[in-house]
Amino acid sequence: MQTIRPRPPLRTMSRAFQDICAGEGPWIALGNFLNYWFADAKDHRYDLVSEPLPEAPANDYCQRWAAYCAASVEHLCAKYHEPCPLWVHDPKYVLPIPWYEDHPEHRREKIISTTPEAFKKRNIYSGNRMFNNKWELAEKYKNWPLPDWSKPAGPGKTETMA
Amino acid sequence: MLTQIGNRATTDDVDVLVQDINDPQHSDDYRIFRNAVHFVAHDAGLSDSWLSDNIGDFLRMAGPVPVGKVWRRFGRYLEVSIPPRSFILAHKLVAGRGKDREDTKALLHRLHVTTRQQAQEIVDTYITNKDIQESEGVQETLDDFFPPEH
Repeated sequence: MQTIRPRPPLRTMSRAFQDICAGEGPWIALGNFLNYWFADAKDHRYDLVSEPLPEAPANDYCQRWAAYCAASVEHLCAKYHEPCPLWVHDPKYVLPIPWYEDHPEHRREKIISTTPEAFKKRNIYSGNRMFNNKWELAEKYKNWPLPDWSKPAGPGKTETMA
Repeated sequence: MLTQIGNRATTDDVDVLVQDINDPQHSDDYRIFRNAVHFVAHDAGLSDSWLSDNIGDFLRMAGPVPVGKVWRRFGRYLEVSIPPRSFILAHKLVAGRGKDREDTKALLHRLHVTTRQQAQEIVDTYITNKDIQESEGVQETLDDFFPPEH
């Protein structure tokens, strides 16, 4: 008799946050969430973000990532035209001191200027490339011609269309 | 990063370039491959995204793809090769996301890359399409790892 397994549980933002606080690498946990956001559950994205985060442990690490998760949800919902859940606006998700992740000091000016508003207002400065992803990358370049790299490259730019 | 550098124990997905299949949409081999991916996902309770090949065209467009070193063979039909670490570094620098930062640091260390020029040479080896280097902000990513010289 065939065993029917349930579909894998949705990798919600709430689950990603719980995984982070349980010791999972933050970008593994957020990457799992993003796989669902951009591929597996892209037709029901609100289900991935509607559930509020559980109360964060009192340490700085979890407090920072709680704020990062809230900022991510607000940013992604705005960018992809999804309704934004109210829980993200809780003032507890504003950090008391600025967090630049581990961007070096000489990059701060640039990082501050490129960070999306949903992060800035929570005192998080992370630039604007954190949600670059392979699905949109493939889409961006799908109409570019495939060069023949067996031929020696000439000087300067290759002939591609923007 | 798991198999070659060992700097972390888990990953959220595995990106692959499928070789020897010219027209995936009409290939029985490709259909079997995707079914196998789905089977593993179902069996292990994972999402189908655990293994994805949708950046294959981008990798080919960015520059020459090196011949990898055979990592494992599975039966008669499936062979998994791993590219040189320098190729992975070049593409991590193109991606330039926060999530790539620790991997990039580990690769720079393992490859003994200590200067911006060395890193740029690796990028230039594999990302020969300068438009892609520019479009993906490689110089800004390098700024993160190599402070400007005064």
